[in-house]
Amino acid sequence: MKKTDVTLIVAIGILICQAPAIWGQDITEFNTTRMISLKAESQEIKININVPESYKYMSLWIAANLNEGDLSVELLDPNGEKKGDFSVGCALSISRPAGTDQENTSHEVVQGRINKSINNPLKGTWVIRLNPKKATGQVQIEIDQHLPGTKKNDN
Amino acid sequence: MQVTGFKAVIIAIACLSQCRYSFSQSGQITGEIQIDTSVWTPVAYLTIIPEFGKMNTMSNDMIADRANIDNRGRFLFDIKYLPNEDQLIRIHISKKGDPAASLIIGGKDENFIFIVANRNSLIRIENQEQEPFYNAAVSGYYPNSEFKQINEIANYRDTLGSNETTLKAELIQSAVSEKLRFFADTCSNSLVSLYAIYKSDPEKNFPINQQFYYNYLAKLKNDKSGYMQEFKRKIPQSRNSFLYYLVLSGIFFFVTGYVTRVLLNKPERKMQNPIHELSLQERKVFELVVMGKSNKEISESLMIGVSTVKSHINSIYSKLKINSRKEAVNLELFNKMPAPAENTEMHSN
Repeated sequence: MKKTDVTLIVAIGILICQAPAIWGQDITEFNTTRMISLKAESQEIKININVPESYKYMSLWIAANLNEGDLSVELLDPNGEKKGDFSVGCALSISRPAGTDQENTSHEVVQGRINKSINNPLKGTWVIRLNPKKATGQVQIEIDQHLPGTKKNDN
Repeated sequence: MQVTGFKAVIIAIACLSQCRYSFSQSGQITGEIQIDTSVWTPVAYLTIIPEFGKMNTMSNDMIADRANIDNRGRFLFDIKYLPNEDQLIRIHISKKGDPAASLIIGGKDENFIFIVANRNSLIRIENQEQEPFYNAAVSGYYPNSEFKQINEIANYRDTLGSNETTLKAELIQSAVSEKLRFFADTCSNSLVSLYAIYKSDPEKNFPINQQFYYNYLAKLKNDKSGYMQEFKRKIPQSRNSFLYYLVLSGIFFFVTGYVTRVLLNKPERKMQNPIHELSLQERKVFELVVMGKSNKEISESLMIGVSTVKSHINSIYSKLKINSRKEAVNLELFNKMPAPAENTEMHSN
């Protein structure tokens, strides 16, 4: 066996051994989706997101569709500092014709969305705080967290 | 005749040019934005933002105006209904299928832009990319470039990640706040100045920069806008009110203290000097007893019977809780009995 063949076989062997570690680092990603329905809700709702030290990137997408009432959404970091917020409110209320369960056909929809991409998020518990006031609608939350070796630049 | 006609034409042209000038004075917001019409509805909405805290608030009743966007991406808002004072305006568009009252914050799909305008402002908005307002340029009214600068300064705070040490993060935050305060202090436009103050986080920085915020309040004391009222709500009472309450509470505590002292001292004085319990005649007898006079001498001195003297002495012993003349002398050493005025008069007689 030639010397070059031996070198080639050894190099291929090293690459095969290293492959799981290299590829494994790039594909570690956690996606969480949560849907919250509100029906004349006025109680504060808190959603905790635990961020370990090893996480290098986190993106949040919060969308609220409101048909009635008011809703404010806040994102707080582990120190309690506000990192993003929005409020939506409906001027009209859903009126139901007397004696029926049917909603009135003309109703208002207001929408708010926030996209937040955070590189090196602070370790600890991040909080999404929903403050509804007689709110009817839906809130959808999508969380995307990445382990080291992955990074997005759409900040 | 021809000369007169020529003059009339000149005057008419002059009048028309004047009219054109007058029309150009009423404000307009024009835009030319490149949008993907398969994604976005070609309608722009205008919202007047009454306070900085409502910049991220959306509802249908906040929308003041709408304008169609033509196939070249152009739209126009006539803003002569705005007041003469500067207002914060939000222009937004909505995605197809989304309601008109729709706000997308963050990312390249951010669907709004803030501008500073009044009824006379001529403003132009342009973007170079398919994203509606991402990196859009605002021209025509100078406070908008300053408004953009404030956002650039304030956004620097958001770039801090967990990699920074706590000390470094605090130093950067402090430097950003200081820069914003400096910006606010030197800015000639009051709305932009107040925006810089709003972004400087006055609630957090007030305790360490009180003097600055009070001076700032004094400087803009004639500003009655909603933005100013919002700032006033964020910081504690003004110094004048603070001093007023300080003086008022000082007077209250002084009066309370004085009254308490008077009430407490009154019974205390009685308790400390039991001789005050004695009648006038008993005090005269007590004084003579302390001087070492016998019952007979006291009787002669006060021109009363010896039995009366004995009766007074028994009463004195009972009131002063003593059993002998020696104890009366000792008591007198502790409490010097004040000489009754009547006694002095009697001696002088």
